[in-house]
Amino acid sequence: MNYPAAHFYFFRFSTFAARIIKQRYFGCKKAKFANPHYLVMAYIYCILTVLYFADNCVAQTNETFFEKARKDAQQGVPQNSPAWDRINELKMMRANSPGMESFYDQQINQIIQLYSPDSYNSNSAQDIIDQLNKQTMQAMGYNPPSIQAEIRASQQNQVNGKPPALTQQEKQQQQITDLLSDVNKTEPATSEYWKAPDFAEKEKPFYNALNNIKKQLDGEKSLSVKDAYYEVEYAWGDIFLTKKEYDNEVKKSVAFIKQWMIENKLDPKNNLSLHLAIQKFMTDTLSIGKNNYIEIQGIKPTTHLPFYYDYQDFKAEKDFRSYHVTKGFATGNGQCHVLPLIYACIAEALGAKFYLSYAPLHSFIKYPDNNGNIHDFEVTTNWQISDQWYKDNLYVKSLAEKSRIYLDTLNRKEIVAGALLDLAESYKEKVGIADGKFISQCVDCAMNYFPDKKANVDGWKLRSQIAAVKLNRLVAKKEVKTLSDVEQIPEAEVLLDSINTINLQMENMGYEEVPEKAYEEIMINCGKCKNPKLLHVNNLEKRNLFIPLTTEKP
Amino acid sequence: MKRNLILTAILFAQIVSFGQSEQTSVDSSKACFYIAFDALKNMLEGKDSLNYEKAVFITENAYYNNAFDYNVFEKTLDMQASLIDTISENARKDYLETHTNMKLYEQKMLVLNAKNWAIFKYITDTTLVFFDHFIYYNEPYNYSADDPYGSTKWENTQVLHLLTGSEAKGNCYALSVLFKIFSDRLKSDARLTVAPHHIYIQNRNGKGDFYNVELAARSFPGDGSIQTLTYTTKTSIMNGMAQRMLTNKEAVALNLIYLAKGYEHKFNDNTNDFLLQCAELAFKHDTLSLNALLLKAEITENRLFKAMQENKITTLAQVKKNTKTKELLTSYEKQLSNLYKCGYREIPKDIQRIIYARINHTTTGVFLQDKTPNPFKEIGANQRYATLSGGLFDEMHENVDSIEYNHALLNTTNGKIIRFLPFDSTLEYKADPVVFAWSVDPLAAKYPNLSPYVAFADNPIFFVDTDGRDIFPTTDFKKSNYNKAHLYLMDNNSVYKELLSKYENSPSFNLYLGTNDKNIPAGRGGYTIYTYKSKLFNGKETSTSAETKEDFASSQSSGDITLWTFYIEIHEATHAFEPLNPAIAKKESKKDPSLYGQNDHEAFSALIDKTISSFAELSKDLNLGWSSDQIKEVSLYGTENSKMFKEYIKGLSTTNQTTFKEEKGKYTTRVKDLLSKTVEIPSK
Repeated sequence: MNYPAAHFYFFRFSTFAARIIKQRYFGCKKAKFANPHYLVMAYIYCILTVLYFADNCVAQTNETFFEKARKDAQQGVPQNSPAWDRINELKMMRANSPGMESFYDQQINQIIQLYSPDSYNSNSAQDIIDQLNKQTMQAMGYNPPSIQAEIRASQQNQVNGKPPALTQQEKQQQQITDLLSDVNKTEPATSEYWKAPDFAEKEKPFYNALNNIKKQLDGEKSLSVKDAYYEVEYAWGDIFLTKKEYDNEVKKSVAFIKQWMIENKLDPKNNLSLHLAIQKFMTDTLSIGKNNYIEIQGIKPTTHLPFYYDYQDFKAEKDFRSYHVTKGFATGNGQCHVLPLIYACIAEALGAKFYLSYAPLHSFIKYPDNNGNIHDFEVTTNWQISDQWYKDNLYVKSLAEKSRIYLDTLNRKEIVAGALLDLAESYKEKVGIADGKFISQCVDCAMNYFPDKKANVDGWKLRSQIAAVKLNRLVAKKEVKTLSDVEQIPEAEVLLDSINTINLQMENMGYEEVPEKAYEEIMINCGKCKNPKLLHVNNLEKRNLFIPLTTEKP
Repeated sequence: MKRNLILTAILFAQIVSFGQSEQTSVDSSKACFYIAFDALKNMLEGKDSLNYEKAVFITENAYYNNAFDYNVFEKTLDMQASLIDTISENARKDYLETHTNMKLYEQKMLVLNAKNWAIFKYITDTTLVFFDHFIYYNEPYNYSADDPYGSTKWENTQVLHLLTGSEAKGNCYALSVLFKIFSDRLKSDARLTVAPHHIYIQNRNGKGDFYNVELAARSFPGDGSIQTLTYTTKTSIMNGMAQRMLTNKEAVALNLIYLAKGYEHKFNDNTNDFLLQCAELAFKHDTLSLNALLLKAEITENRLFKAMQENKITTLAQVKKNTKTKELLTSYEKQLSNLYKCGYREIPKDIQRIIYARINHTTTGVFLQDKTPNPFKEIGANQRYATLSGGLFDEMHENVDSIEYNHALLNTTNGKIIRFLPFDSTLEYKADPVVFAWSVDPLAAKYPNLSPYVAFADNPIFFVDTDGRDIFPTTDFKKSNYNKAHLYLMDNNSVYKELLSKYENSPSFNLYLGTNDKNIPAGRGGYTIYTYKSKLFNGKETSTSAETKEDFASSQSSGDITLWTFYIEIHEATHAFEPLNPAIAKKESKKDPSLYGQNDHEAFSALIDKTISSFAELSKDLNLGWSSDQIKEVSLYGTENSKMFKEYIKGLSTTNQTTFKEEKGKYTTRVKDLLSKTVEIPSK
């Protein structure tokens, strides 16, 4: 309201009203104004007068402009926002520059408007304009393209018409179906073979091995990768070397390497020199006991042949013993499981600092240099390889590295714990999963030693296999056909839950199956051999790598 | 009189304010940044719902003084998302035709996979999509290889610039963000991933496993490649700072860094408190944010240099004497040693030059050196060592004695700065460590078969054609007779190509021909002007579409429609070359709707030579054996409203001494006979 104007009219009409009221009620002789119309007007003026005073009173107590602005703006923004600084700044400027009030008010209003919660919300005005335009064009006999609102609607319909997004539950169902079909191939669903009387006899060597390895882990026995793997392989039976022969093999290797290091002036206390020597020993033909064709006293001149890659049976499908370290020492060949373990046995005996490391379907050696960097040695091909190379070529995700399932540095204790998992694998291969007790024991014990008590893929896989076998038996027993029926069985619920948790756990750790194409490629590369002789060698034939030399001048 | 006084007062106020306008405009544009900051803060603190797309818009809009309308931004994305959806649906249906025994789970994964593939295709390749009665021709978004960090032009890091800029160019951040926005809309579950110096996308393949997607290089490098090229250490992978998939909240928090950087670029002020506020808020909501730590460190360095300049200090010894600079120095040293402990390594300058030269396809300023590590060096031995990059990059830098960060050389053992490095003038391009924007390319090409999109038999490295010479039409597009004709003309008819090239080369061009509309009344072709991209942002209409109808062809003739479709294509393409002004069209049609298009064909007649030569070429290619008169008559067909047509028929009627109507009837039958001839579209 324009106050000066109001003042003006108020005084003018209030006197006018007073006069009329006076005439009407106090019987003024001049009846000229005593018209009912004027009377109504007079009342209205009176009411206006009251209102004017009331309004004036309120105006006195009204908030200042800024307080009001602040209140408005607070709807959408926090009180201590940087924009307030700007507003306060403008306020100051407004106070200091008389005559510029309106300008600064405008500035402040602009900021406050931008703050309003509506400023980023879409409005439908444009839609309405579009709609009107379209109607006009249609009236002209043309069919204009869809307007945005229509496109949005059609898009929504499209989305609704499609299969809904994937649910976790469906993925789990798929995983379980796959697992069950896998398990069905190896484990009979109906026979309870572990209740047979001679079964305990079969199991016994495995329990012995488990106890002996457990003793190493508990500290009752000294920690030894070499011994732990002997236990595993002894339990399987039909072993290539006796314990004495096996120990002797390692001893001979150590003695040979030490002598070679002396002859080549390498410091046996330097970790790097030790690794260099082991790498040379395993991959190169080395000789000792001769110095410029002159025999060194007390040393039998010997040549050591390198280990070679087992192209015949690298998957251990023909003979399970192809996975055995003893077989590696006895025959001088092995694949990416055996050769790194041989390296480990020798390095352990020499007292070198080393680690074992896993990659999908693969294992290799890691060793520290003297600058604190850790390098990788690929025993099968005699290459030092960077982690980055492994990651790209063997499909290791950074997440898997982070959760330490791959490319981790496993110390001796962890390697021995890994032997327990190999033991469980052997048991599974030899006698079957049975009631799952033995395998569970192995896995539970081994898992305690891996990072975070969970960073081992093989352990989780074994666990899920046990659950799957049990589920498979339950399905066969209850004669149910579909997975949704299985869910109705109360005992199955626990098993399903455990499988799902395991799968989720593995996914969270970054475990992924190697892509099919890539797997094929890796396998082809494994089978590729530059030396055709090696393809026809009997990989199980015993072969002594140490060859005595006669001293002859060339 | 009073009113006049007031008016003068207002005018005076305006004159006074005019003098101050420069200052106030800076202030109000700064206010835009503060507002954006608050909006992001509200989102992060849960006062507002978390909306990544909106966060990106708010951040970038501040740089433009909030000149863009969110509504328009949304609509543009709506449109493009619809196109992508169409591409993905076509591909999915095609795949299902050949793979009938898919399990439900696999089918559902395929939906996601197809969507991601379509987004990838849309961003990186020229596509031709048939959507909502129109054919959309989309050119790919380009990578700003000459300015990956936005150092010379900050706009290169922005999605808004990608969408509105004349070159549709952006760095890997802008491209990845666009991918993420589309993915959020289509619910295809792609994630933004940060590596030091780089930001990229991870999405699922058909099996549900995550793959890296490199939009700039159009490839799918493994984690090892990215680790090598970005100088990532194992430490930073293990503590989760590097190669980390961002949650939605973390992705929103990342916008704060870009808000700060936008402020820095806009006001040329790299020490402002606002930058620090941004970094701190980002760090508060994402404690693993390397960008936030780096931004903080950069601000400290800038402040230190500023203080040194103010106090005329040049040497490190002098810095330690002055209380203010000493304080800044200790804080900076602390921050740098913390970064070193976190496993962050700045890419050395020589490596930066190699990568920069590589993505720009040059060799200038590059000095190659074998960086293969040798662990046995100290004992004088050398064993063969395989690295991913073949010795081109340093892959073993977990522990180093000294390291460069920005302009400081840090001693890593005692955490002290050894010296400040001179501002390198030999490196022409300044890489900004805070902005993660490197392109990962050189190693990626080594493993091309590793693609998340194998289901679509699509190996992008070999098949993507960014020049648009070989466009990618969706399958339903290829199937239709009409579209076959269009593609044939695009490939073989030089005049047709010329007619449409105007739009193809126009920067904001994104679509042209429309077809198959059931709502267009039979017997009617016609074209209409329509844009969806440029108009929304610039208010200009630069692109055109011509719509025709296959049914139209069949309604004209009971015979073969192949030639009819060629006729329609050429006719409408001529229209598209010289589009009718929509304002005139509207005015005309208000007078009399039936007159709509009269002007149109007058304009058309000016280009009749083009139509004629296009038909001549077609006649020659398809061995139709049309005479020049016949070609002319076909070219004129459909322009009954124009003066030129009327004159032509009149001319005929005077020579043949017939009435106009009779001659027109004869003419129509002649042309119809010509166009009803049976021909086959030659396959490519």
